[in-house]
Amino acid sequence: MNAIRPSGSLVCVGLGMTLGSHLGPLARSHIEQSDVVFAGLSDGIVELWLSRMHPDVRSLQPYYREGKSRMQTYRQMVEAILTEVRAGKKVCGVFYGHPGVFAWAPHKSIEVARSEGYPAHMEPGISAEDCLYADLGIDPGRFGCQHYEASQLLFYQRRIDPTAYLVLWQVGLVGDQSLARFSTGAAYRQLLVDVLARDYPLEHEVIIYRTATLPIQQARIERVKLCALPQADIGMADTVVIPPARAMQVDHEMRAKLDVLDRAMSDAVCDVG
Amino acid sequence: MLCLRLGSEEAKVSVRELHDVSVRQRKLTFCKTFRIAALSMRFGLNKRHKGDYQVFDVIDFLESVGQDAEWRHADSEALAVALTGVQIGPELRMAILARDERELQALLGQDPFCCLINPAKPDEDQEECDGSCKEGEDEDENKDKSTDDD
Repeated sequence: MNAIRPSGSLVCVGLGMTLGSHLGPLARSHIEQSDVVFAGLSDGIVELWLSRMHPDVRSLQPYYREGKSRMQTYRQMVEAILTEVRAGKKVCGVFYGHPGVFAWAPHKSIEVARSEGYPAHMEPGISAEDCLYADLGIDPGRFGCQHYEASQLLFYQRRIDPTAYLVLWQVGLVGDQSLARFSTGAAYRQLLVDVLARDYPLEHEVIIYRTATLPIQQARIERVKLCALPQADIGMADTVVIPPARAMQVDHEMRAKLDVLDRAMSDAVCDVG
Repeated sequence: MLCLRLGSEEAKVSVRELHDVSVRQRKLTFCKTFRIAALSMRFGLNKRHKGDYQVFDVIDFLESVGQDAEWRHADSEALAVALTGVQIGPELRMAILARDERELQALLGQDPFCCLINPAKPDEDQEECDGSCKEGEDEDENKDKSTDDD
């Protein structure tokens, strides 16, 4: 006999980064067809826009408070979402950008909902990373591209490849061990520069980038030297992009092996012919 | 119907003229559509603000700009043209033309949002406790939530 399937459900969708420009038809349809909408957005004006699409949009913004651990905030977001799913509602979590990129609460909400037997899935959206490639003219396929939450470079021993692009997120609060601050400051960014200086010259040019949230804005694209990063004006929405500092090195040993393999494959084809 | 030889000067001129007409027409359509929408909808987003804003729907305007290839990257001069004849308060007009997000948020009664949704420490132990956790945190959590919800 089949168990009775609970009636609640959850979908997490991305609103994209720019008001009016990025919302896809499927995400809009999920928003319009749900019973309850939770909003984890980056801008109050964008939230007003979302409120036009559904009569019951509940902001997740009140859960934030400076001085309170954001992990506590994120857990409260998950709980608020799951409470409605458990009540049998068709719930839509709307997050800015892509709901699964640098976003803990949407992934956790889906994981918990599924573990309790509720159907739950994610629909992608246009992320800040997507906008960054377009605005800065970067193709991640050319030299490769590494993405890190900036604090991880201070908390952990990470290996950076300076022949590829390096994109650092949440630089404005780098080094915040409490997860309770909305910004850190120059002294913390200096520690980040100290770590980066192991792989990059201090004179290396880096880019401070911020995606446009409103369609009347343009992206922030500001180039500074790595050594000037601590003094730069960097907020929680800014990202730092570090272009490659060195050329890729040819792997002669592996190329020789590839040549041998190519010849063997070619001989095998000739033998068959 | 007009038939022209492909690549001829006449054809190039005609295509250019058609394109110019099309762009002008789209600009007019946008302005017309937007004004009709703006005039037919109540602004009412910021109750603190006065009646002079009530015929202008800034969210509708932003959505229209965001969705239109012609307007998404329009300069301030073009935006000023789009706002011509629209009943809009001078502060709001200035904030839009200056592309001043903070001012626009303030005029619409919105505080800056926190946009952080990702922790720096990925493993569960560190997520659960950053070293400052104490017994009874759950009680605090509930208190925070009820306060926030108020």
